[in-house]
Amino acid sequence: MKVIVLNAQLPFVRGGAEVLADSLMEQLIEQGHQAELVRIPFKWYPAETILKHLLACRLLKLNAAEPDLVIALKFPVYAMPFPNKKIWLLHQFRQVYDLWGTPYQDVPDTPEGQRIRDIIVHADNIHLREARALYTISKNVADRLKKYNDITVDGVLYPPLPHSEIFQTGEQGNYFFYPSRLTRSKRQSIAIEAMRFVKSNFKLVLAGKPDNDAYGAELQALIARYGLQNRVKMLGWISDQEKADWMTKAYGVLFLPFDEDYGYVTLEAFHAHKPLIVFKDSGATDEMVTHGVNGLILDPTPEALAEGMETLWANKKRTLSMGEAAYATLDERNIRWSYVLEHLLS
Amino acid sequence: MIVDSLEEQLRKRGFEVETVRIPLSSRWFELLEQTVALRCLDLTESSGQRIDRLITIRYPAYAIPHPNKINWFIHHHRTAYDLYGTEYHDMPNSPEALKIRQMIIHSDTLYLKEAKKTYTISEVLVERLRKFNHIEADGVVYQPLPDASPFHEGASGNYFLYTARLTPVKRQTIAIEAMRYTRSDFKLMLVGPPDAEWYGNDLRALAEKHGVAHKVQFVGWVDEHTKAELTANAFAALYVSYQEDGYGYSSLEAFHSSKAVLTLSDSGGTNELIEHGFNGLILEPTARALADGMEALWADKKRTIEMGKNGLQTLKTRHINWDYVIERLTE
Repeated sequence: MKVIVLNAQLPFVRGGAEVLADSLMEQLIEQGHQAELVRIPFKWYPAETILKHLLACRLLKLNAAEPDLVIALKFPVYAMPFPNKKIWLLHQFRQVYDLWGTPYQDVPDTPEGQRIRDIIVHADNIHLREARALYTISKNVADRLKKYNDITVDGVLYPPLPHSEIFQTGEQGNYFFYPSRLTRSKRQSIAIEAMRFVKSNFKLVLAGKPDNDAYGAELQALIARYGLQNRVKMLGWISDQEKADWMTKAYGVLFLPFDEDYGYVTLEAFHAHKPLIVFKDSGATDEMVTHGVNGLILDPTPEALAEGMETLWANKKRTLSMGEAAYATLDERNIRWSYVLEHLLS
Repeated sequence: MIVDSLEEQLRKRGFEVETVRIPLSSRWFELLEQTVALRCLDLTESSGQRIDRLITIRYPAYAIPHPNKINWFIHHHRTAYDLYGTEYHDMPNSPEALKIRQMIIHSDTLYLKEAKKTYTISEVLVERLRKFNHIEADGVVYQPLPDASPFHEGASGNYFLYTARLTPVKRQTIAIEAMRYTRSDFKLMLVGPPDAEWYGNDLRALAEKHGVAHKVQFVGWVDEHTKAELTANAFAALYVSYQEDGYGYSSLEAFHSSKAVLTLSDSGGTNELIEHGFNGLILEPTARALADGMEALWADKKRTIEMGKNGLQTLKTRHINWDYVIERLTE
């Protein structure tokens, strides 16, 4: 089958969407399909630029390459017309939906800004419904479509981890591991502060590059202020293989973002047979975790996190079996490429 | 191919590069809305970071606005230009199509002129820009080989080399037929895979039919290293394609290997690169004329070697190297 994978392009920027598009391409090619990645540039400021890019997508054609199927991943590229178009939605343009009225809104709250918001919502209502099938990467994203656009999706296809084979099960070490970019919305600060309330002899290991130097320095200062230098280790950026090694020997894994649509850390922990601690407001990650079964869902406070880690630490055997349950979740939620491709290609 | 090479060469010199490839339909009635689409794209910044330069390559990428835009123009949408009204164009002779054609020419002119500079990849294109768009290009920036490093000078062997895909437009047929008229003891070597297997077989059958099979060697596809060795040790090279825009990478490979190149007067781009009697020969497009040309070179080995050296010199005088390209496109 000739398949075009369609993604937005933010020149010089690489993030989760690019990783997902590349993995999907890899899987399609491995299965013997002819796959081509098409990316259309996107810029969202000033706000009227969004509409121009949306119009551009609507005017462009994908018929020259005569694909059998187009799989679109993001706003605004899913507006490109094609008869056999399926959408595997990473997320909508959140600034005009759930982020409207938050500091992340970006689009100004003026009559002009509101008009732009209404046009985007209206266009989404049309373009998303055009697709032969509409899947999302999480229930969180599906719920938003229901809430804001009154669209019922054809299902949730959780993106599997690229190169999951490097994440292996291993011994229970004496640290909780939190690998993620160091950025305010990932709330590494709460993890550090939790260590103030921990009585037992386990450690916290943070891995990841700071988004900006200021936040990295802020976290270092926090560690120093509470005298936690011997309890908290900051590894900085590490390779995927190093991350896998740390994951393998972790006691448990933390992932504490604020309202995220999906997180690969969850899958990495599950592949390594480790229970995952998340917060109630972490977004899609709490879809994956069942409290007390394959991890813990806690209030987003240092005290609650400290208590949760202590609870796991006090019962090693139970933690081990939660790790096994975590691994089983991958199968229960059909987080495997064969399942994803079966739906996207059917 | 030109885009991949350019990206690699820019990166090599420390530039941060990102290639944007917009899919395009070439159906004439969809051309205008695509131009509008490109006009809507904003590539002045990405996620808050300024984009310092936009280099456009193909129609209609130059419609994208940018304060610091440079065009490296490789061709018009030819069915609306020089091919309009010929057998190769797909636009009907209707008032609507005519209007679209005029709008394409008009918008091309407008958007090409926005750029700080417009370079083309050949003199033919400078001429076409002048004729159709009344634009005076800033010069020709020839397209170098993606990687010239394997090519070098070798011995002067006993074969004429023709490197090209085996396909009708490359006219291996004329080269094979020419071997009917040659008397001397040299061979023709055809390097390159057939586009379709049956065509390769047809060419072999042609060599059989003319009784020259013993003088024509089909090498097929070879890797770059082998190709470089075969070029290095050829007597001279041929490039006898029919009316191409470009001069063909294999002409450059020959010059990088100090080999004279024989081409035909209707071959297109090679005529711009080859100066008759200086770095090769430009011949009448017949098998007999080609045979005579090959015999003439074979009879004067010393002069042929001299012409090959001039070919290498041509690469220098025409600035066919990536340093020059990058300098022009980034200054």
